[in-house]
Amino acid sequence: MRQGMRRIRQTSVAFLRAAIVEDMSYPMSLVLSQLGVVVPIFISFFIADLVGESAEVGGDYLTFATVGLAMSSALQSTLQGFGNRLQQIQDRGLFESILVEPISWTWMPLGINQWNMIRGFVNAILLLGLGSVLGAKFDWSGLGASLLLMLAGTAAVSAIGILASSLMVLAKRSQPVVVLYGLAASIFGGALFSLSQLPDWLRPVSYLFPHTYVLNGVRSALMEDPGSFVMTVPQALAGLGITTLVIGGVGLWSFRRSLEIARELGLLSGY
Amino acid sequence: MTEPRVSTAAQTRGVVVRDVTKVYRPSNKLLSFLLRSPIKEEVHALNGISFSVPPGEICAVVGPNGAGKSTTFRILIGLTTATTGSAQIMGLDCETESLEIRRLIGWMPSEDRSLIMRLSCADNLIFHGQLQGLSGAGLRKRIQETLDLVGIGHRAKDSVFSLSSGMRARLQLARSLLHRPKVLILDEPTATVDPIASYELIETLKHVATDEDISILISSHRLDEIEALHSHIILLEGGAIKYDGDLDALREVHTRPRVQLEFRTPEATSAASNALATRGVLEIDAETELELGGLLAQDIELGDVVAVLPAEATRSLVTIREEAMPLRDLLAAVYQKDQP
Repeated sequence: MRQGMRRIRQTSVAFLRAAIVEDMSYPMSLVLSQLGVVVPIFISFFIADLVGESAEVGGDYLTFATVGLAMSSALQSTLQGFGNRLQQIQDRGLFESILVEPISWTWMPLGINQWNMIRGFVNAILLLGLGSVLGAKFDWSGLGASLLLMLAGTAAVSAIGILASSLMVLAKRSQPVVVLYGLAASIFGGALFSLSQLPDWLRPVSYLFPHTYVLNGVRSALMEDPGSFVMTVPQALAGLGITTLVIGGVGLWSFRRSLEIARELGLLSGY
Repeated sequence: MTEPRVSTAAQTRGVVVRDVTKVYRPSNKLLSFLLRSPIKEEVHALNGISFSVPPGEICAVVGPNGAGKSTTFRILIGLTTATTGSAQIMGLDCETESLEIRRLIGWMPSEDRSLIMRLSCADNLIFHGQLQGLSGAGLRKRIQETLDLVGIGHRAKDSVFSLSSGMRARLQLARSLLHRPKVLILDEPTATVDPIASYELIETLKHVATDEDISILISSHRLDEIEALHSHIILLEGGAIKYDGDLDALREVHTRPRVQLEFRTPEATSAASNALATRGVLEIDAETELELGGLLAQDIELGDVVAVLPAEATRSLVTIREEAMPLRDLLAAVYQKDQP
């Protein structure tokens, strides 16, 4: 057991270190991508004047949108990171050399996406801080619950990311699926508007996206008035837990199965 | 780092392949459409091959494109599975005990794309070492030792993209050696390097095989380096083994020495050429005004060549020398033997 944990830690450190060193070797790309993350908050700052004190968003659009953008940024970074990183590894010809290392193929996708998860997490906190500087009003006593929700949300979207990666191992490209899912999540998660705006018949669809639970759970934790669509922190955690368990189990199984099929068919080296 | 489970008896076995076949089958229509698999009909990549490579031995796997070299290697390293038969490394099954085998093998692919170009040599090896379960000062010490062994210790901090092809090949070799494997599998390791770098790499491999007592399987299209390895050789063709043994034994069976003659006058050369060809003594494949060259016919000795030369040619003969059959011709002879 102790040996197994040590191996997981070593594998995790190896992937994380390599990803950080490589990312740091492209400093301009790193700086510009960070700028791209913060710009929407400034846009929300000006939209907030137009929206005014709408009850739908708890009377404070900037705070409402800041939470939406921060959490969406973290979740999208994790979700798209799986496919992006795996495709990068496949296209560069690194995939096989990683597969011949003595590491578990089942857990490999988590290893290769750690840096994206951490970056998404840090960005989310930076965005909350930036929103606060611009005038967003947070109840910081809910920060602990928010971090917990972010962790649970990261686990849930990781499950979806691994499921998409299993498709990528066989079909070599799964980004369109992830991008479509990400777009749908940005609508049904309610990043920039309250889910109460959705027609009644469409609203249940939003419960299929982890974004819904994270965004609205964090709003409950950080905002005095989260608006007209209320989801408590326990409700959000329960939703995320169920998503992670169900999709995570299927995702890990299907990733391993995809590798086995690709191994048998001789498709591992293709890209 | 945990030592993989290897029995003492198994350690003596090195690599053992028994009756391995590999059939790439087309997937069903839906999968075929989604995956765009290039396989439209069954491809028999390996047809029941068997061989073994004991520790300390270098085995060169040679064959034309599509002969089954890469498939054999991919089965051994766990990147694909055999359809029937068994492949074992140190007594462990390549299909069912792949995780343990991956601790025992060092693999060097033919492409340098398997390195992370933006990372330094040392960082590439740290990544690999950590995945192999190595860490800390021990890992750093071993990295420097291994880079020194392959002759690029002074470039440890340089990015891979700043290295020449030859140095990248050495770095790949260092990566495959870092965790002290029991078996090295090298897929065309010198495909991208110049002849001098290739020679140095081959010399390094020979030392490693002897000093570390490891089995080395190497595929190559470069006949000069196969000759330089003085190794066990496996000739593959169409997924089957055409020859399995040492190069010297192969020469004894198939070799026909090459004879080179030099004359003083073109007339003597022409007379000799006619006589040798008419009597079926020499298969002439090179002729200039003053020189003749070709392979000795089967069961013919050098003395027979001199005996059939006309007097005029014998008088103006300047030199006659016998050379070992070039490996290129030797392999061609083996591959043509069963051709209709």
